[in-house]
Amino acid sequence: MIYNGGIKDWGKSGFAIETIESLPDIEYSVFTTVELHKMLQDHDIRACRDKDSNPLLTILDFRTANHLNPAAFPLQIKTTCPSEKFMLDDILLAETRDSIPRLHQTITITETGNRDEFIIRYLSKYGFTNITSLKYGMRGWLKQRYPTH
Amino acid sequence: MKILLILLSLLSFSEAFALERFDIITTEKLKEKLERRNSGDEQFLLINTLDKLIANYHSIPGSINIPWSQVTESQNLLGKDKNIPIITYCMGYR
Repeated sequence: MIYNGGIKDWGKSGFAIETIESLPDIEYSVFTTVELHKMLQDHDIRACRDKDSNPLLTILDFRTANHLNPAAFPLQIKTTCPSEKFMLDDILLAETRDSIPRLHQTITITETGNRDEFIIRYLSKYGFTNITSLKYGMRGWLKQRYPTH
Repeated sequence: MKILLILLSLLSFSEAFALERFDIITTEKLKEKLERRNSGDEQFLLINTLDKLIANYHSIPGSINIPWSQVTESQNLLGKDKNIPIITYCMGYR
């Protein structure tokens, strides 16, 4: 059987929700696909590098489909900016968190943008402050027919 | 063209059939079933299929967490009784 109301309907009905590990309530930035597209166009002119050769933006790609079937890799945002792929639960590991850039801007990409909030709130516990999310995730990017490869 | 249309209609039929194989349960019915399970009158597994990080943040009491991408590796969490009813949920429709 499927309970398709899920957490949302359960909570709306006033029933108890269990929390094992709380997440900080924080404010974070959300880019629209139009804003990200414009930013990447600007960054790509400079090969997405600052004067010290550091990336101007790193994409943190949390789409599960990246890991399920290597023979059928999902479409990626076409840019010169670096992209790192993770499973969402990878960030529970210190070594994964250590591999995420802290000093320059990063943006989370998920399938629909629904999971970004949890990623950003969790990472904020470990001092990450430069993470933005993409509204509607990769679905939004594809809907606009922006460049992919 | 005709063959393509036939293939497409077969594919869409298969997908619809696959979805219809599963019953949908309402919030009220799930609440009732959990109460019955708590009083020992019913047995079933309630599975939160969200990522562990998200399930740790919010889960329906009495669930176990098996992220949908890790079903194969987590089969041991389902126990040995393969006939026990299973109810899955995630964040909810949007």
